Amino acid sequence: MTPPTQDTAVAGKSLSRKAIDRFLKNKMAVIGMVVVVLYALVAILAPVLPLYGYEEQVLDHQYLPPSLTQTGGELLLAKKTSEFESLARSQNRPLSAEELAQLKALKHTIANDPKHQRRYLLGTDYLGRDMLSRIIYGGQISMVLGLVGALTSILIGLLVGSIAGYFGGRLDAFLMRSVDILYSLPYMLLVIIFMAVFGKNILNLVFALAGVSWLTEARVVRGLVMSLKNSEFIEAARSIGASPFRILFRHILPNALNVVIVFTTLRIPTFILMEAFLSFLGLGVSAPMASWGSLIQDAVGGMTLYPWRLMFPALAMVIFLFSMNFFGDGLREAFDPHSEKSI
Amino acid sequence: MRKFLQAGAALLVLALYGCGGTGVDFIIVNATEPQSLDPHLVEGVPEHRINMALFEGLMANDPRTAEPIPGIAESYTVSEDGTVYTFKLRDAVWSDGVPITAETVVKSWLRILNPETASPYAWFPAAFIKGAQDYLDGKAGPENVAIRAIDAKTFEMTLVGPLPYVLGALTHYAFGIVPIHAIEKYGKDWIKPENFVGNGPFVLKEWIPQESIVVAKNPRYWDAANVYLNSIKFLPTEDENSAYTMFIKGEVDWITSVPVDLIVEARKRPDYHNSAMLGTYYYIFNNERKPLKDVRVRQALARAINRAELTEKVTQSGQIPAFTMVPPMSGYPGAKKFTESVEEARKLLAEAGYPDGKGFPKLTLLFNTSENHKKIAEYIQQQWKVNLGIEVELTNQEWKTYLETRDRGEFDIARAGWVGDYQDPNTFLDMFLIGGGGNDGKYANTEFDRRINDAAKMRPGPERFKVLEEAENLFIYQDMGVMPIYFYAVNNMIDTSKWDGWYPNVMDFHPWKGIRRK
Repeated sequence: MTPPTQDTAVAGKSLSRKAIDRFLKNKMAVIGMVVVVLYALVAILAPVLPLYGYEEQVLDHQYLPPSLTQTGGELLLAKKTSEFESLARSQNRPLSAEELAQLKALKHTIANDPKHQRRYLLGTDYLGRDMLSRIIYGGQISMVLGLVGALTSILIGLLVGSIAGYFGGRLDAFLMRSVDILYSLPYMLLVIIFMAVFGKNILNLVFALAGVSWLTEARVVRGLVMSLKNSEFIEAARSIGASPFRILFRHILPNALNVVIVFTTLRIPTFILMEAFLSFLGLGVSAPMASWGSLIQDAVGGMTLYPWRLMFPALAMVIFLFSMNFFGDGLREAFDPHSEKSI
Repeated sequence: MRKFLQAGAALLVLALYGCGGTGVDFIIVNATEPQSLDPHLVEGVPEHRINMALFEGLMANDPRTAEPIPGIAESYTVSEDGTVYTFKLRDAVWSDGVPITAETVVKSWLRILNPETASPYAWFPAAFIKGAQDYLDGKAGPENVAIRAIDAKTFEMTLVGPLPYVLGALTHYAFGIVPIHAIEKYGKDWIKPENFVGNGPFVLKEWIPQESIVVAKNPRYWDAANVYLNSIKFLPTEDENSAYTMFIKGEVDWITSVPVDLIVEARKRPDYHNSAMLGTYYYIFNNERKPLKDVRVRQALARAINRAELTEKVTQSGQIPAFTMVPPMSGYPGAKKFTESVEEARKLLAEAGYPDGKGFPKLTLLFNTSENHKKIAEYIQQQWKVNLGIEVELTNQEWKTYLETRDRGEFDIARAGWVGDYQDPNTFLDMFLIGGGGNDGKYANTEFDRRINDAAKMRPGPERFKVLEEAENLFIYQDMGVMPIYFYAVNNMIDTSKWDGWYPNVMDFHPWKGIRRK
């Protein structure tokens, strides 16, 4: 009946173990992580999943609503029938023989043409392309863009920030003033100019975005490096004659890694949003490729008539952004040494 | 009894409508804020609609056919060789009472041709009037331009050739007559409502940039008896969706386009008017770049797409598949049409050295940023991929950048559209002369050039059309210098059971004069 002493419980846990425990206790963060992993899995497995090609057009199947049970052909028939009926109703007459014959012919082709057996769980767009497939492939682009953009901007920020923070003095002043100047320029304008000069493709888009968004990262890293560079273990390394770069990359940066990882996760949604915004202006990915942003842009015109074209990509994007933010926030809390309260 | 009651009710509604609300008789969504109200400084269609209310040239347009009818000119005579036109002006005055004389016309036209005016449309009168191009280029003075006032009411002009379509061109704002006395007095500010002087059926009353332009009936207009509206409001709403919603709610009387995604719905309404228009939508091939240099490749690309499916299912607004450059035009027999055939396209491509599209370089297709152009480009891209095994990349640019890129010839394939300036095949062909201003794809065939130049010297009639037809056969059927896709159609929404005097026509010109409530 002796209660377990407090000492044994604490002694068994390393810092990272504690962090993981803290993270797992945060329900929203775990849900966020699961959703993000699911998204990533679907995006990676897209080529082997039973999906239609994202660029495959079946013009007979334009603007079909989402349906779990009916095939494209059935939906088309229903659409045509209701079109004819509403026309007949407005003229106060039954369906004419010609219309009935047309419907019959359509029924016949639908029964015999395999393309009418296609199913669209999330409906189709203006060229009869499967929305589900476009959202998944669009997600691929959006997520890769977010990841690559965040990583590139962190890399630049890390380099500039650590150099400025460690060496200090004039170099620091120069680098930080450059950051200030870049901060004051409208970043959208810079991106648009960059794209105009180097050509419009997805790689340039990522680099343009990364090129204007490493500024915050650089400041954060600089602050971290400055606080670490006077600690005892750095003094020790310096006293045994380690070169500045060795100290920076072997001793300081590994200690700043937690913060950097957290920051990267939180940056990914920002990049996805920026791409969506640029796509909305017509500067994003080039057709027939899609991203969530460009899908939403395409759908705005017919929003009242074909709401599913707007709803599903928007939903897919919002869920992902939410999850990513919860996940990132959970990570931040878990790694923050000051948030001991939860344990 | 019943009938009377209905009439009474209608009258009551009419009266209420007339008094209440905005106090404006007619509201049109004019798609954009005009560049200017000065007829010599504009180049767009929305500006043209405003111009038709505020000004009138020597000739005006018939509301049903858009054919030229006398405007400020009462009558005209043509010399034997068809190059000298003499106009008799009617007793018309400006809205401030100053009479319009032949001298006003001379000074007006010299103003647009003056290089200092820097008018975007100065090339247009310069292409007609003898000596005008030299003045515009700064090579000669204004005295060399062959226009003159014989007396106060007689005006004479000499053309570079017997251009039979000149009367239609005279309705264009580039030949506009402007109040020189007011311009001299107020300078650039003459188009402000407080200074404004015009000679059209309406005068400018109020102009709030980005909000609205209101014009009121001009009591001094020579034909004021046939002007029925008291005022018109032009809204610069650019968003087609909100314009459509405003129309459906009855807040506006006329909208000049319909959002593509809503056409299916709009088509069911009785106030939807779709009509063919004198314009061609086409893709320009860069004739100097490989592999488009090869006529077989151009033929293959042009013949491998299904234009009927494109117009019926993608664009959906009554466009007509185009297999020639010149749209159907009265009197013109029309050139030989090429045929679509995937089989033959594949064969041609194989002959050019790319069987099944193997080894074909990845071309880029340039278009200006727009929903509609994107849909068409995506469709054609997919057709080329499926039918020929060719990959093309789509790039879109904002309007001005796109125009510059096209001008510099930095593209493989580019989207283009041309709307006729007057009703004659020449307006669709003469820009493809070697070195021609609109010949961005650098199409070059001296035989074609010879025929176009010959036709410019010929009298109107079937022989001239025969020569133009031969030229067009060379250009499209034989060389496929550009790839015609469809002939334009326009969508207007206006309730013609309520408004009289508005008719669909091939130029999409709708004079304000005769429009009235039924």
